[in-house]
Amino acid sequence: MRALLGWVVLIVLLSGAGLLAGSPGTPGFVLSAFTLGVGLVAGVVLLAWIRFSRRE
Amino acid sequence: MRARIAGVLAAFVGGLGGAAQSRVNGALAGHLHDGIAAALLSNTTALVLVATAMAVTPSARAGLRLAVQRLRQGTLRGWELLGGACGALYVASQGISAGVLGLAVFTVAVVAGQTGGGLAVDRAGIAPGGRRVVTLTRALGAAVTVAAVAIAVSGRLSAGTSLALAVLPLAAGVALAVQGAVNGRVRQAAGAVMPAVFINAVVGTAALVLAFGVASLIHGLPDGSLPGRPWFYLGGAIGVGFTAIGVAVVRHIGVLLLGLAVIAGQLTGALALDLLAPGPAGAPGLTGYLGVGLTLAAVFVVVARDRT
Repeated sequence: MRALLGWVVLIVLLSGAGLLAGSPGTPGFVLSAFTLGVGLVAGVVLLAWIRFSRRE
Repeated sequence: MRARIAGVLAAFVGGLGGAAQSRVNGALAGHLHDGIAAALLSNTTALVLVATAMAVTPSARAGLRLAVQRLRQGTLRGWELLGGACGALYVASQGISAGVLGLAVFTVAVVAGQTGGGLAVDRAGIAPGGRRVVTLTRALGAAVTVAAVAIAVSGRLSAGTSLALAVLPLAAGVALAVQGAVNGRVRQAAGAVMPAVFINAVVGTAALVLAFGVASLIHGLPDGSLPGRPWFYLGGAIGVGFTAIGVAVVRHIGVLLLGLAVIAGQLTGALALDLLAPGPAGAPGLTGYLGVGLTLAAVFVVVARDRT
C-alpha cells in the first residue's frame, strides 16, 4: 500500500509540474489540473481504505 | 462494508485517472498518427517508471522473487501472468475496429464484454477473494451499466457500421475482466502490488511491440512526430496508478464491481474533461449526463444491495 501511495505522490508532483509549466486555458494545463485533482482525491481515498481495511 | 466502499471509491478514482490517460494518449496518437505507437510509448514509459521503482524498493524485489518461486512450484500458473497481453488486445482491437465500427459501438461492445466477463470471472472464482455468484442485483447492475454507456455515446453513433466486427471489442472487454482477475492473483502470489504491476507492464509492452511490428509491416511506420511538451508523456505514470489500484482492490470488491466503478469513473472523468476542455466532439449533451447518472446509480445499487 505504501508503494501505491508513493505512486500517487509521483502523479501529484508530475501534474503539479505540468500545471506550473503550462499556460492557463491550454489542453495541457487543464489535463494537468484534472490529474492533480484526481491524484489528491486518490491519496485521500487510499488513506481511508487503508484505515478501514485495518479496522475490519 | 466501509473497506468495500473505500475500495469502490478507489476504483472510481482510478477510472477518473483512466479518462485523463485516454485523453493524453489520444492527443499523443494524433501527433504520431498511430494509436498503437502511442499506446506502446505510454506502456514503455510505464515500464521504465515501474522498473525504477522496483530497483529502489527491496520489498518489491522480494515480492517478484516470491512470484517466480510460486511459478516454479506451480501455485501460480503461467497464463496468470498474461494480464498485460489482455490490455494490449484492447489497444489492438481499438486500432483495428474502432474506425470501422465507430467509437460509440466500439465503447458499448467493450463495456458489454467487460461487465459480462466480470460476472463470469467472479462466478468462476478466478480473482482472489473466492467465487461470487450471479445475483439479480449484480446482473441488473451490469445490464444498466451497458445501457447507460450506450445512452452516453448515442450521440456519436455512425451509420453503415460492420457490426460483425463488434466481436473483437467484445472479446477485448472480456479480456479486460480477465486482466483484473489474474493481476489480482499475481499480487496475491507476490504479496505486494508493485511486482504484479511490473509483470503486467512487461507482458503488455512485449505484446504491444508485437502488435506494432505487425501493424508496421501492413501499413508502414507512423509518419507523425514526437510532441515536445512533457504532458503528452504523462499517460504511462497515470496508467501505472490506475493498474495498481485495480490490483490492490480486486480481492476485496471482485472483478464486476471493479469494472463498474472504473467505467463510472471513466465516464465521469470524460464528462468533466469535455466540460473543461471540449474535444473534437464538442461539449457534452444531455445523453452524456444521463449516462453518467445511470452508471453511478448502477454502482450504488450493487454496492448497497449485493453482499457476495
